[in-house]
Parts: sequence; structure tokens; C-alpha cells
Amino acid sequence: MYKKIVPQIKLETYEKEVFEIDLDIAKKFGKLVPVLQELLNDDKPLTIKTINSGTLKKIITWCTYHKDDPLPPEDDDNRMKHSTEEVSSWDDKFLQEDGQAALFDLISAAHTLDIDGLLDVACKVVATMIKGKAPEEIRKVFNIKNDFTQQEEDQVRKENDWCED
Amino acid sequence: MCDLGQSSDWCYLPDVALIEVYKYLDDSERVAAARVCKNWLRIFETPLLWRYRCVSFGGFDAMGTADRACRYIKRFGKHLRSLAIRFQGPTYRTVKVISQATEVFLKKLAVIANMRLKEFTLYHANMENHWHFVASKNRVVASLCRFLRRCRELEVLNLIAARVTLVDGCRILESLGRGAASKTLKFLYMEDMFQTNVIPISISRYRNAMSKMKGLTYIYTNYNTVNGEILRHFAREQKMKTFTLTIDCDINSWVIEPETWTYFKRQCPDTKVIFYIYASGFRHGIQHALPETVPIKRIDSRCEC
Repeated sequence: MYKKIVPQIKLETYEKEVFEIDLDIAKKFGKLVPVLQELLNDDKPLTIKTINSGTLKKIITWCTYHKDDPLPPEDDDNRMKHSTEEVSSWDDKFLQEDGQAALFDLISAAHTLDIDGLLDVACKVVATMIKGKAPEEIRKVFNIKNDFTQQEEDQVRKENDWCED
Repeated sequence: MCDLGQSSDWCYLPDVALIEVYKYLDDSERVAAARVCKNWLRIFETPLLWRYRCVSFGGFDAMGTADRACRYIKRFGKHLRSLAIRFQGPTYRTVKVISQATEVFLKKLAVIANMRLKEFTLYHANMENHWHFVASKNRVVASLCRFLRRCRELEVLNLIAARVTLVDGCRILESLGRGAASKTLKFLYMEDMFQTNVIPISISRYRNAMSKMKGLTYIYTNYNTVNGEILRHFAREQKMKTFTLTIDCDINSWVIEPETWTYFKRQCPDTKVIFYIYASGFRHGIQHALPETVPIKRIDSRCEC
């Protein structure tokens, strides 16, 4: 029987591991798509040193799951996004199951590969982790060092007292 | 970029991602995030995050709202492009303080030196229906006029359901004509801008005010703000690309005569007129409103209960 040959692209990760990805999954990679298409006939993989194998595996899983999603509508950047749209439970679990370091790597990788949908949903998850927390609590959650001096911190607070009730 | 050798550094999330995160946070959450570290503070100041604002005045704390809104304007006013003001059901008791708060805020807006507001919405103000005291009403209209006259780059003005008196409406339109908006204003939404459905005597004042706005390319209106005479005037004076006319068919007596449309078509052959016809209580049939001389490109119909 005739078997359709699916065009595949090759990506090499930080650990020099090569992944073969179906082109119809890689079409999620926004700006990279034309580059990847050009490389189709090449045998050499595209090396992306900033992404590790674990992250790329997750990216492929996400892209496969969301392969048939409709393209998101053009976004008017002047407006606030509708934050009411909830993250699907699959996405939520997928993004949080490996802890924060993995989530950070996923966001970086989604940025590098220009996967809008993934970046969007991951940022939403990060936003829910920030919501309702004081600065010190946020630092704790994300393990961020406070690089403000006391003076600077007071200054920032004073400049932004317009939103306090 | 992330350095794979080290643990992830959330402080240096890619800018694009951090901006995305901020978009999902409300004001106080954004401020809390800005106080986390210097890089997060840097992204907090991204102009893109502060383009749109809706200020709601209501209740006895309207002054508090105005005070906070003014401080906000001082901080981010230069980034603001789209502003909406909304009144939350003024009552006999609160109407005065709400009007004072509005005045304070609009005054502050007008003196921001680098204000580049493109869009302004007065959200369903319903002035003649909800506002009980003339002094309060006047205060709002006067400060609105002062503010609109000072807008330098205003392109879109939305006064839908403002329901002001004809005189007040003319004052507002005239203030636009006196300022830079006479050249910059492109879109005017004025459905039910006037309280009355009858366009009375002082019609020349309204006509003059409208003809001062030379940049208009789009008007969204209904029979509340337009009649045959004004339409003829538009046809002579204005070169509109699109003219949207909402026909509320419960006001059968205000259907524009076919001759006017014929004239309009002759004067402005490229103008597109869009009718939204609500067919409830529609007595005369569609041909009553649309003459045979004016070609109809398309009719969409939809049934809503």
C-alpha cells in the first residue's frame, strides 16, 4: 500500500541529540517555518543550542496535541487581553508537572522557536502564579533575588501608589 | 537567553514573555511584580502595557477614584492612547461628587504635555436621563469641552448614548471644531448622542459644528443625529468614505426622503452607506426608506428574539 511520506525537519539540541519532527507539527514554529522549509532537503540538522532535549521533547508533545488548533485571531495589542479565557486543564497540567525550571525552559524555548500559542498559555500560567501575591512572596516562588536597595524599593512603591485603594 | 549550565533565572525571562505575563495582571498585581526586581520593573514600564484605560466614576468615593486616576495619568499618561470614562448610575446624592471628580480628572488630562490620546469614549453617559442637577451636568459638559479642545491627536470619538441636550451636544461638537481634532478626528460615533429624537430649530448650529470637522471619514449615527437636511449638508461639504447610518425603525416619521438619498448619491458617488434596520414595529416596508435610484449592494438579514 502507498504510504505518504511526511516531510520531516531535523533539530539538534544542546546535548547534540537530533530530533526529527514532522513538518505539519513544526508549522507551529512561527517565524522559523520558512527557514525550516528551506532546510528540508538538507541532511544537516538545524542546531539550536539554547534548547535542551527534555524541553524539545515537551515542545513536540505540546505541538502534537495542539496540531489542529485553529490559528488565533489577530490580536490588538492596544487592548488588554481577555484574561478570562482559562487555561485548559491539559495545558495547565502539562506546563506545571515538571516544576518551575522546566516551565522557564519551555517559555525560553517557545520564545526562541516562536511558538505563539505555547508562549501565550505559559505566560498565563505564570501570571496566575503571581496573582494576589506580595513582592516578597513572588520572589520566593520564582527564586528571584531582590536587587533593589531599600531606597529604590521605597521609590518604586511611592511612584505607583496610584493603584492602592 | 537562558544559560543551561545554571538554574533558571526568572528575573531574566525573555522580554516578550514578561510583557505577556504583565498583560494578564491587573494594576495592583502589576505593581507588586514591578517591585520584585529591577528587570521586572523595566518591563513594567513598557508603553504597550499602558495604552488603554477605563475610568469609572460612581458612588461617594468618586473623588478618590479621580485622585488615583490623576496620579496614574501623571505616571503613564504619555503612553495612553485609548481612554474610556464611565459613570456608574449617578443618583441624587452622588451626582455632584461624580461631576466634580470628572472635572478634576479631565482637567488633569488636559495639562499632560505629552498626551497623545487617539481614542476617547464617553460610555453611555445618558446625561438627560440620569443626571438630575443642571449644575452637575454643566460641569461635566464644560470640562469635557475644555478637554476635547485640547486633544491634539484624537482620531476616534465615541459619544454613543450620551443623550445630552441639543445645546450641550453642539457645545461638545464645537469644541472639537476649535481644537486640533477638527483636522485629526476621523471616526465619530454619535448614535443617540442627543436626548431628543426631534432635531429642533437650532439646526444650523449643529450643521456648522459638524462642517468644522474636515478629517471625518466615518460617522456612525442614527435618526437621532441626522435628518434629510443634515444629510444634504454632509453630501455638499464632507467627503466621507464611509457613512454608517443606523435606522431605528420605531421612529417612522424620521425616514429620510428618497430624493435626499438620490441627491446624496449624486454628490458622493463613492460613499458607502450602511443601514442597520431593526424591523420591530416597521410599518412602511423597506422601500419607504430606500429609493430605487440608489443601488443596494447587499442585504444581510438576521433574526433576533
